[in-house]
Amino acid sequence: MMIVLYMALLLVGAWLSYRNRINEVWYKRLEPIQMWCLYFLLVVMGMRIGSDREILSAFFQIGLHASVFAVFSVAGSVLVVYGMLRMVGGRDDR
Amino acid sequence: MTGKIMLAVAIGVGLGLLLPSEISSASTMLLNIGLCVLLFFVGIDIGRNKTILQTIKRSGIFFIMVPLGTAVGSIGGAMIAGLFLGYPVNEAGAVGAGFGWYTLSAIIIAPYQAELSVLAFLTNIMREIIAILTIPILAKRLGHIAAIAPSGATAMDTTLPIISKHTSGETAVLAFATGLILSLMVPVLVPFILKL
Repeated sequence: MMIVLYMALLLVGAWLSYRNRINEVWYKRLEPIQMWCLYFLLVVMGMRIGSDREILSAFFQIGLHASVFAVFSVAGSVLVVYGMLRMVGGRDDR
Repeated sequence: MTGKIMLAVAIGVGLGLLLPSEISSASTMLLNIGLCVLLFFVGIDIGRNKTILQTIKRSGIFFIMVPLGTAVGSIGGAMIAGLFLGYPVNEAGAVGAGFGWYTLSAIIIAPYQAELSVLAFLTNIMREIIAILTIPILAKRLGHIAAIAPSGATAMDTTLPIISKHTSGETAVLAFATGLILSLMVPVLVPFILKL
């Protein structure tokens, strides 16, 4: 249900903006509102982290795991894209 | 910008240390409401680009292939990492589905589990750093298009200048389209994979 809501909100916002339904004056106001909304969410996220002592004590371990995840994610992306390019005989633009 | 993001998280952690642990239930509702508002704004930002359709048309078949390949590889790679480290497949996949968008992926996961949210945050920050470091090397060794893959969703903004510098104008257009499509996929895929 939430996924549908997220997608709907994204598409409604994109449609309104693409079809010039939002005044340029409002764009200037929306940007700081968006940033402050993001900062607020990050503070709330931080509060959840800070209130959980187990997470704080395991922070270093989580960081190590994150580095493994990051390497595998990037490697996976590169390998799949490169493999697909080789299969379709993609343009060699080196 | 990154400094302000880190500061916001640090302030939140500090408040979390001081406030009672019962705030967790209230924070879930705040996160969900705030996320809905944020996604609406993200949609507005994306829709501002009036040349989206021309950009996609110029990219040809690669506009489907590159984001799809990046997404599959990222999620699959994260799931493999999760197998080694003992994480459930759905949680590992959700982390990989952040595609480098460290703020949004972490915020989406936060109501589910705070520890996983931290993991997603740190993983996607590191992904962005790895992308910045590897784009020049990949562009030389594997080709311009493959060099877009590490960036994920950040290919449309943060890492776009680096991609543009080390590849070509056409590749930069493809990178922007790739980042755009992956950005649209993050708020859909992360919660979807979490629920598997």
